[in-house]
Amino acid sequence: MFTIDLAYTTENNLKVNKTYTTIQSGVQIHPTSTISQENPVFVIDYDTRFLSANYVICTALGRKYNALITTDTAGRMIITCTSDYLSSFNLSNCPIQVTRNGGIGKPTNYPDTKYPIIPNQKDITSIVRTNNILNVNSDTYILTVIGGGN
Amino acid sequence: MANPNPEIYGTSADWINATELYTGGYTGTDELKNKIPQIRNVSSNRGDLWRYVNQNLLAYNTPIDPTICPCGQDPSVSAYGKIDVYHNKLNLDQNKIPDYQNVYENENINWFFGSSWIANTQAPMRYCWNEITDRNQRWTPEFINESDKNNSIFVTPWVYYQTKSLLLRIKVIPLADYVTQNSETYGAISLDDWKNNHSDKKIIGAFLEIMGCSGVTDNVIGYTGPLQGGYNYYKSINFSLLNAVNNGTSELTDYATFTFEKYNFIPLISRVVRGNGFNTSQYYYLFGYHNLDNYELKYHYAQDTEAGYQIYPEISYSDHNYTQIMKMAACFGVPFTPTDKFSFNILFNDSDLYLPIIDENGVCHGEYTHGNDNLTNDLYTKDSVREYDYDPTRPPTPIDPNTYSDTTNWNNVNFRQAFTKRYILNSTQVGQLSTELWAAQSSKPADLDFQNYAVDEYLTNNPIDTIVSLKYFPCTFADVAPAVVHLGKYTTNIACTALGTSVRVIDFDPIAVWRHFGDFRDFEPYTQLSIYIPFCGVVPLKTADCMGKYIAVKLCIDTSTGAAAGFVIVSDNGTGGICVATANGTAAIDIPVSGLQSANISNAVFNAAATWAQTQINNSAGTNLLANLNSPVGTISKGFSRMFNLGSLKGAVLGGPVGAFGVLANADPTKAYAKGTEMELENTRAEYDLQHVQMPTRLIGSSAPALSSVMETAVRLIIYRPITDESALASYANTVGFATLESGTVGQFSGFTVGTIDVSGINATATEKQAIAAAFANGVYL
Repeated sequence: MFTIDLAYTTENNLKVNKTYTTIQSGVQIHPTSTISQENPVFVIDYDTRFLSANYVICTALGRKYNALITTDTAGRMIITCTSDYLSSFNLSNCPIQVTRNGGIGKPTNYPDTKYPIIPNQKDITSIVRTNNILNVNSDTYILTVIGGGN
Repeated sequence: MANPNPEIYGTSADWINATELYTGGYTGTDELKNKIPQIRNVSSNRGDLWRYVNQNLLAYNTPIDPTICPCGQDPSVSAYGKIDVYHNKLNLDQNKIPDYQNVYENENINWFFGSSWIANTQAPMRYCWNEITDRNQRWTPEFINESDKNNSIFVTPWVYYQTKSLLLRIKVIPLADYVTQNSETYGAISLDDWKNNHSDKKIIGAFLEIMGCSGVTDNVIGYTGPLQGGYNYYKSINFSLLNAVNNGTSELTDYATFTFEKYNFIPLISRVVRGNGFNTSQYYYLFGYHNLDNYELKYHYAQDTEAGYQIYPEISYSDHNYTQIMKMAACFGVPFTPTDKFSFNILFNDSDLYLPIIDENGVCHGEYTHGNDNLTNDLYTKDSVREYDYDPTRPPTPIDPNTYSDTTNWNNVNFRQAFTKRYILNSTQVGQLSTELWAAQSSKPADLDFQNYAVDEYLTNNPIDTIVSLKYFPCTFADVAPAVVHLGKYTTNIACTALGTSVRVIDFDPIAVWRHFGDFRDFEPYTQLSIYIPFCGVVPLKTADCMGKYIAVKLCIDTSTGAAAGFVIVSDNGTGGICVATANGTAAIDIPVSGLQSANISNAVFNAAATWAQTQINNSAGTNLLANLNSPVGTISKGFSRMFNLGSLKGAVLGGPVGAFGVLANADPTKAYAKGTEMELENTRAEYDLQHVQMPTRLIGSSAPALSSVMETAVRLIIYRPITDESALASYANTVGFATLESGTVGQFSGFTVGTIDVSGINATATEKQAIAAAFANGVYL
């Protein structure tokens, strides 16, 4: 026999280390057959309080699960679980090479082909530098002649 | 061969060679530089390779321990390519082959640490007969004479010391003590003593005192004291600072070898000494000081004779000089100290014990550790080269031979105008020019033939031919001098300025290309750059070359042709820089100059007049042609000056009845009337030619398009930037994430994250690990 905690979470399924609200902790489980570690199915007595549960924490199996609660013909609650592998293990210290990250908050120097840029439109501007030597109205003619004696 | 540490030891170009014994008193530094000493003969105390090979102590062409590489020489490029260091065992028994080796490869000399004992001979041994190959090989100590070759000769053993069982003490020689004692080492003090107690003194040299150690136990060097030789034996320390130079007559290469047969020291800062106390056959290079500051080269008579003189540097103390001497010592790859304090056992982590840092190729570059940092130094942690990753078969890392520059060099161009002259005119003066051309044509004295006058005065037949070109330039000129326009030798009344510049260079101030977005959008293909250069057009630029840098433009205008060339220069700080793009165009506008070619006029008029004159002669008046129409031609004078009754004659000839034409057409040409017609026509033609001489005009230059002058005369950097779709950015961070490339741990990131995760350290099933990795590859929320 072991216990599970029934909880409710609104987190995205892809959330690592989900937060949840415990509905009932210490719900006793009496296994009558083999229980899968990754996708266990728990059977408990019907309790309306548990209807909103969608998350199970099972310390005995060392995992957290996304849960789907159904009711069988005998009026028992069947809790079908799938491993929430993103929250069951401490991934904080796992090395990772990140190629995209929203937490940065802004683009980086790495080219981002998905970045929403309006195609075929450009903002055109310019910077000018002048030099007083150049002047189309310089009134300067250079006459080149042969000879050269002065 | 390569010199890995030229910045520390310099090259032969930096060292002073003293030659030619100077026979005067003090001399200045410049004279010292012209003196070159002969290099001392290299002591050739060599071992016996083939014997050791037979004894399986060595293998041919097998590199040996390179942990010592003096002055940073790479063993693979140095003449001292093979370096050997073994655990020491000093063997005093000359008849027993000690467990030490010399290794030679072909003609190269392997240098090493050690002390050598030579038999009672001062002659270097050269050749030894190789019984294996049955030929002479220079693998043994050399004999002077071929007849001395002998397999059983006493060979010079070299005793090797383990690298870290030697200690080099850095000594300097104060000037005052040296001058009075004239000794190579007398009065020497430690480097630290100079720094701490005698920094007001100048020194004239520095050397490394070699201290022997009995070995290493744990972290302690067993120190026995200075290396000493026995009685009647030379103790020779071969220390390869420079390459071998044969017999002192070869030109200095980057390195040469020094051998000091009587002293256990290695010079760092050396001087030329000849005379008292030294073998007069010994010469030295003056080296080791060039990278120091606050020094002055001096020449001094040790004795007041020609035979005794010294050339040395007087070096003042500075922190730079202290550091530089330390670096030179570190290049030798052996523990060293700037103090005198060590006498017995030395802890490796002693604060005054310095260990050189050896790079992956076994080369030292002057860096070092001391104190506790020594305990992580390779020199301490390893005992021999076999513990390194050194791969003797690996080719040496080539030293980049290139010299890099971040500046394009520009030439000041000014070609001499020998046969042309250029004047700067304004529009008013140009108007005067046409007047002057006509004035030039009418300036001929009446008594001179026009053609001769023209050639003499204008160097050409026509005054207008003196003009090569007239061009309008859209710029001002500064290199000018007052002048008067000369057309050949003809002086006009046009006061102007003469141009002295061949190329007008116009520099535009640099433009800082600022990053607008601060991210990838600042570069291609998102942001693009081009630059407009006056008269040359628009030049595309590589954004990556220019972003965050300064762009300057140099516009060059050829004052002869009017051609323009624009150069785009990119620099880091707005000065200097490298030209990355060029463009060509035309800045000047041709101004057509037209006029009469007076010589041609003269020629045409002359010919027409001559023809007319000839007709007058041919057809002179005197005979009534009408009266003699039917007379033979011979009876008619040759010419007539004026046609009498020409009209009637013409009428009879040309306008008369058909019968007259028919008569004339069938006229006998020998008859007068036929001849008269011919004369009439000739005269008519001559008069016509004379009255209708074609005026030969000439056009200089062409009407060139002036369209480029419509464009602005400023440099304009044109920037094309992308436009972001702001509406699509709202959820971008949370659904796509910004492209990046970062490494770390999961806990260091937040938000929507895509990446490659290493889950090898978590306790999950294989399926779960795959699922985790797949989820991170597609994106998760942290």
